[in-house]
Amino acid sequence: MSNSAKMPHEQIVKIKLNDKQMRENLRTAMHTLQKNRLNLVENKFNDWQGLRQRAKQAKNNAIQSLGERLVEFEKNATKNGIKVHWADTDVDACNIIYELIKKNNVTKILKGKSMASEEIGLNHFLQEKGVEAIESDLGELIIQLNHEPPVHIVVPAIHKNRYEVAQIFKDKLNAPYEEEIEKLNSIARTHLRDQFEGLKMGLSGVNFAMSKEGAFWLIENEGNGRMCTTAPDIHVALCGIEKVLETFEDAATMVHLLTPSATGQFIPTYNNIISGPRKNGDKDGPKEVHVVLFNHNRTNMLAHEDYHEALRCIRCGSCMNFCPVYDKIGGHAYQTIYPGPIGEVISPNLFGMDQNSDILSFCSLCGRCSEVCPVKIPLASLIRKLRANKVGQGENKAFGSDKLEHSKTEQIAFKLFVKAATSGGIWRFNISSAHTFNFVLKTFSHQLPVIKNWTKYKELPDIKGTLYDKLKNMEGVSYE
Amino acid sequence: MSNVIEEISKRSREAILNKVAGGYKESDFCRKETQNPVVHIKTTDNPLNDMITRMTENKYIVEQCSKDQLEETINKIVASYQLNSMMYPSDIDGVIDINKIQASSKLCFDKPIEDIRHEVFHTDFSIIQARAGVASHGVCLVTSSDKQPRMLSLAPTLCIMLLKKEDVVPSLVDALHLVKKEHPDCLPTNILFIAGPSRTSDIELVTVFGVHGSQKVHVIIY
Ligand code: SF4
Repeated sequence: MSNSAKMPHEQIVKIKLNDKQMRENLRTAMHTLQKNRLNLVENKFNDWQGLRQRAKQAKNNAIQSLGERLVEFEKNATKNGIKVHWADTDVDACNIIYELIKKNNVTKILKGKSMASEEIGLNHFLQEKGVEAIESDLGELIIQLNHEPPVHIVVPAIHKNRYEVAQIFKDKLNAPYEEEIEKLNSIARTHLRDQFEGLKMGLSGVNFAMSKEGAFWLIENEGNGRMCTTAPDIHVALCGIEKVLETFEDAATMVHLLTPSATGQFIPTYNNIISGPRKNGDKDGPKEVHVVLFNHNRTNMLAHEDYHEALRCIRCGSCMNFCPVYDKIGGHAYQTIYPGPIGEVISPNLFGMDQNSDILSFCSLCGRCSEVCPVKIPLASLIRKLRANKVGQGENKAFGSDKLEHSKTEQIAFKLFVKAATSGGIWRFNISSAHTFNFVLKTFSHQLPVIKNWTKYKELPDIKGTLYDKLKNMEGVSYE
Repeated sequence: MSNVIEEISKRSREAILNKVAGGYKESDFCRKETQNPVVHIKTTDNPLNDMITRMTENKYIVEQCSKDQLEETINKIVASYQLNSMMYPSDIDGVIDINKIQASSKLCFDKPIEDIRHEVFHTDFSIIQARAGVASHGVCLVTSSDKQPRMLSLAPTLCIMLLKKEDVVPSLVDALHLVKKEHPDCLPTNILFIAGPSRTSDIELVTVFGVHGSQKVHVIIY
């Protein structure tokens, strides 16, 4: 989303906070996802922390040897009959897909769920060229019909309840108004069934590619992904370069963690490993399989001493499920494809700090995201570093930071905060006298530069007594 | 291949590999080969039981019988749903006698899908052979071949999978190694782990079964 199309973020946050229905839908859903994950980890796993460590190591193995992995994947996939293409930018990736569409005289494609395709703006790109790209995942279909972006990377329409979905299907598909979820599912099923039958080209993402095997692994529950990769004549898979691992063991490790972290599901219904087009007498499957390996600024992150860690992400969405900010404001408030804690790290890195760094304030640095992330990405600490970049600090700033305009007050405030927070004496003094400063702040807040923006939308809290004492007495806080 | 694609791809390949070469190298990084992660899954010393428990949790309907009771078991399942049309892989004949299966129409998937596309998309049930069952996760390993096309386990409303009880493997990784061993030169085009019927929880996280894949999946262990 370009900056001109965006609302000032204070404004959109206010709108979202007032959307009671969305907040209620999200609150319930996120709590269920949290609970499901905890139960599953407890009941089915030995040493979950050890498994996280293995997954981190497996991803790091690949990322630290990425050049080798990519070339090996290309070699082995080609041997298997897959056509491998490379795309440095988002536009390059869109153009390659469009050229494939043109060459095969296709006017309509069906898509399995792919955040990568959202990232490169594929639907919009194709629409401008007169090609229809239809989403086949139920959640994606709902929001596509309603012209919305996904609100969550795993459950894209989770902010809508059954009544809202019923209305969308009635308005957009001319379906009867049905409030039962089973019936809504069957409307979507019937709507897409004929499309699959006549499908010429299907598009999917890639969850993991195995360089040693020249194959890739897709996971899903609905069967739409399998349809998109089995029913058409041509299958195009869009694969970020960081998805390339080495072995089956590497990919299986991720599968052990991914849906348990995402939704508390032990294993997805379909683990679909594709190693090429129809061959050796196969009676079905696409006649051509293309993989587009795309970069879109991932190499900027790869070169960075801190941000490269975010390339381990397997897009499970757990960090947003546990984020105390995300469930209040919802994914749309971020106004970028990737919301939540991982979005705060990768959206500015992929699209540029000048485009997306406003969302870095949607974080209380509570650190729950870092704790639940199955591949141990230190999200909170990366968000803190990006915040420093945002105000012009840090040696090696994230991509696009040079295009940011800095306000002097913001810089000073951040410097003072760092100073106070890193000096025990000053910190203790500030915390214990917070109630005094609080009085001053409350009285003059409408005149103070940074604070005035905040108090326009929020009441400052009352602080009585010393905050130091309060923190000391809080359960679970060891304070020194 | 179109020149435009070649041009983009060639330029991008060089650019990406150059940039990747400039990636940050973690000074204390030490490569450790990934081992089979199944050690992190709670299991018992009875793999068959583990598999059946987990298959049931995954919403498979599990049945057990001897080889000579297969046809009878299948007929009972089909009758309970009152389904009519059937399709099957060309190599199932060695396992069951297809003549004994009760169905109004029987389609052997032994020709390219282009010739039978409509039928494939509108058949009620299928019978397939699972290559293995995975104890740790309660899934069936299903591989595609010239004899057993991919659509058989996807398009019909009901899919009946046959699984030999000696074909139980401990983990996903063991299953994949089995596939590699049996296909040393070229992997099957499609290797699947299937965990029961297709489903979605996209509306209010309420799970409903039977989206674009099978609505019911029975596994008969024999
Ligand atoms: S950052 Fe971690 S928790 Fe968040 S989506 Fe990625 S893998 Fe999941």
